[in-house]
Amino acid sequence: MSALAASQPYANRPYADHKVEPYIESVVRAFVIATIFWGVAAFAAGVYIALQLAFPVLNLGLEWTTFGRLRPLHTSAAIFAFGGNALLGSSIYIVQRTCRARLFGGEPVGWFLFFGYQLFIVLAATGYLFGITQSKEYAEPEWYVDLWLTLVWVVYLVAYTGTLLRREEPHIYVANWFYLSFIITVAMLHIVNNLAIPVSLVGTKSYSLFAGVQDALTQWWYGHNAVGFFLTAGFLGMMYYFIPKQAERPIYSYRLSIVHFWSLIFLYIWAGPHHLHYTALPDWASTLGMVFSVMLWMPSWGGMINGLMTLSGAWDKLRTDPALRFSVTAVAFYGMSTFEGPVMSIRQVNALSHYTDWTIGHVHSGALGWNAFITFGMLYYIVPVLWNRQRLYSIKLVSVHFWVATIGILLYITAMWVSGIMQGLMWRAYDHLGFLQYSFIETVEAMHPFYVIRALGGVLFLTGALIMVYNLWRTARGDLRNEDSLPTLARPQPAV
Amino acid sequence: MTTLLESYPWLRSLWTVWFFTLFVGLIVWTMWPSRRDLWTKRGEIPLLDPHNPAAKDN
Repeated sequence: MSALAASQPYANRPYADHKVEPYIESVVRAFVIATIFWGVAAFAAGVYIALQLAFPVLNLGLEWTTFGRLRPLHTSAAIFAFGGNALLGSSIYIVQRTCRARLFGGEPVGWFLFFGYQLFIVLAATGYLFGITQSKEYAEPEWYVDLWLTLVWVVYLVAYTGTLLRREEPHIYVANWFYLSFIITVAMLHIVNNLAIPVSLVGTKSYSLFAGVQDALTQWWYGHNAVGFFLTAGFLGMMYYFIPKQAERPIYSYRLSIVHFWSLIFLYIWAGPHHLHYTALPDWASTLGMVFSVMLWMPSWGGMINGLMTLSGAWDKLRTDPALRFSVTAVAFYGMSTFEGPVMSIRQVNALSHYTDWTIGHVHSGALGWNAFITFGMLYYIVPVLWNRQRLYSIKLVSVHFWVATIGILLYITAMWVSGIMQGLMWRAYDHLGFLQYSFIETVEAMHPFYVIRALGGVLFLTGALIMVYNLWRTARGDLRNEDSLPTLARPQPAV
Repeated sequence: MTTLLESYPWLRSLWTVWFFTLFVGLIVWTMWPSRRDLWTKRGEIPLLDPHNPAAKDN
C-alpha cells in the first residue's frame, strides 16, 4: 500500500481513479486571495473604529473618517467581502469535487463571478465613505449597487445549479444543500428588502417601497436571515465539507446533518421580528420571532454536536493539527453563540440587552469565533491543495495564530458582556423618587475601560490574521519551515 | 369573493398544519431505519475524492 493510501483510508475508492474534466481552480485561488485581503482590511477597520470609540480624536474631524461611516464599512467588509469571498470560493471548490463536475459555464463564468463580486464590494465601500446609503443595516448600498449584485448573484445561482445538474455523483452532498439554500435565500432577501424607486437614473438616492413598521419588519426579516443564511447556512456548508476532510473521517451522523438542514430551513426564516421587541410592531409578531428563535437552539446544537463528534475517536488530531483546531473551535463558538442568541431574543432579556454592547459582543462571538475561525480552518486546508504544496510553510505559526486570535476573541466578548450588561443596568436604574440615576455620559464614561480592552482584543485578532497571511504566502511560494520536532501531522495531501 | 374571504382564516391555519406535516414527514423519511446504511454511505462522499484531477500528472 502506498504512503498516500496508508494515510488516506479512502484513497482506494472509485473516485481515486476517476478521470473528470479538470476542475476550475484558478478562480478558487483568486477567491482565496480576495478572502485574505478583505479579511485583513475588515479586521483593521474594526480595530480602528474600536479605537475611535475609546479615543474619539481618531475620527480626525473629517466626515469620511467618522465612526458613523466607517462602522458599516467594517461590518460589510467583514460579512460580504471577507465572508462572501470565502463562501463563493469554497462553494465553487466543493460543488465541483462533491459532484465530480466542472463548474457550469467554465472559467469565463468563474471569472465574471470573481470580478463582478469585487466590483460590488468596491462600489459598496465607496458609498459608505461618501455617505451614499439607504440606512438599512447590512443593506446600506444604494439601488445601482443592489442591481449589480442581483446580476452577479443570478449568474452565481445559474453556475451553481448548473454544476449540480451535470454531476456524476448521484447524490447531492449535504454541504451543497446548505450552499444552495444560502444562494437562493440571499437572492430572495436581497431583492425584496432593496425594492426601491430611484429619484433619478443619474443620481444615487432612492426611496424604499416600504415605510414605517412594514419597512422595519422587512428590514429585520432581511437582517436576521442574512445572519441565518449568509453567516450560518453558507458556513455550515463549509463545515460539512472541510471538517470531514481535515479529520479524514465522515461526518458523525449524515442523517443528523439532513435533520439539521431542514430544521434550519423551516425555522430560521421566522426569527427576524425578535429584533423589534418593544417597537411599533404588534406583540404577536415579535412573540412569533422570539418563539422561533428559541426553537432554533435545538437544530443549531444538533449541528454543533454533529461537527464536534466527527472528531470522536480522533481527538488527538486537535493536539497535532492546529488548522483542524480552528475548525473545531469554530463549531464550539457556533454552539455558544446559537445558545446566547435565543436567550437574547427572549423579550425580558432583550429589554436589558437591546441597544447595548452585549449585542456587539454576541455578534462578534459569532463573526470572529464561528465565521472567521471556520474560514481560517478552510484556508489552512485549501491553500496547500490549491497551490499544490506538500504542507503549510509552518504548523507552529498556525498554532501561534490560533492562540493569539482566541485570546483576542475572549478579551473582546468578555469586555462587551461586562460593558453591555453594565450599560443596560445603568440605563434602567432609578432613585427612590423615580428619577433616572445616571446620565447618558456617565454610562459612556463607565464603559471606557472596556472599550480599550475590546480594542486590544481586536489588535490581537488582527495580529493573528497577519501571521496567517505570512504563513500562507510562504506556503504558496513553496517554502517549508524546518519543524522536525513537531508530531506527525495529518495534512491534506497535494496532488501527486 | 365573500366565500374566499370567509375561508381565509381557515386556509391560513391549514397552511401551518401542512408545513408542520411536511416537516415531520421529512424527519421521519430521513430517520427511517432502513435508510441508515444509505445515509452512512452518502456521508463518505467528500472522502472519496483524495486527488486533484486538475493537476498535470494526475
